[in-house]
Amino acid sequence: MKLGTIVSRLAGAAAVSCTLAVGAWAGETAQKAFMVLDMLPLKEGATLQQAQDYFKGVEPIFLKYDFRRSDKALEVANVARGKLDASVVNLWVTDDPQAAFQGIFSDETYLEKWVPARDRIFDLEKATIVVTKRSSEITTPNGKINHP
Amino acid sequence: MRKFLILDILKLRDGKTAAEAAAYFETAKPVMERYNLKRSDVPLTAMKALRGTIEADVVNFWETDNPEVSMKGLSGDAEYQAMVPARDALFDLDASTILLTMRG
Repeated sequence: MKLGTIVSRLAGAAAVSCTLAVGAWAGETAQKAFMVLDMLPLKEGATLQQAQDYFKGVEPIFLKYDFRRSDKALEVANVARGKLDASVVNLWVTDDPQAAFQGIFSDETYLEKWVPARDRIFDLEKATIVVTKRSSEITTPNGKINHP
Repeated sequence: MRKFLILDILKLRDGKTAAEAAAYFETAKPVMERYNLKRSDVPLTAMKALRGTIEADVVNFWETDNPEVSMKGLSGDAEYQAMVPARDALFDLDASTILLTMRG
């Protein structure tokens, strides 16, 4: 991908505003053991604003199950490598992904109010969701260190 | 907090480990920081893909205010060029995914 193409796409993306409030992720989320990468394509006709509104709505529910935002909502400007289809990316952290998902997917408010909205906005058939584990210690040429 | 976040979702070559990947990035970090590419979280190890067919073993986040300047600078840096053989021996870049995202 040429840099010029990247820049032109960035210029387009820059016109989109985001309204999500920024959480205090640096302090509250830094110690969580797992991070979930939620990479979502929008359905045709759905907008980034609708996606942002959806996330703003579900965040308090997710929080009840120890599933909290780790960074701002991210707008995909460019897929520099690979064939992944995504318009927005959200990074969530938790100490227990299984318990968090079980809680969220049995929460009545989430199921009744937000799942229909989710399915209108996102093309989940093409979505990519990856559970990752955070490293607290890394190996360097000079030995093992705790990552700051 | 910088405006852009690069998601480096990397597939390891057979026999390579997440620890080796972390060590590579620790070595590369000073060169990357020279071009305003700063690590945004600790190294992550992919455990499971719940949706999608992406291949991923390790994930790293890098933030910058100007991806074009950062990537141009990095790719032209002699010290970084010297690390490319090690990078290519560790990662299967053809099977990897790199996303450039913008913080809202």
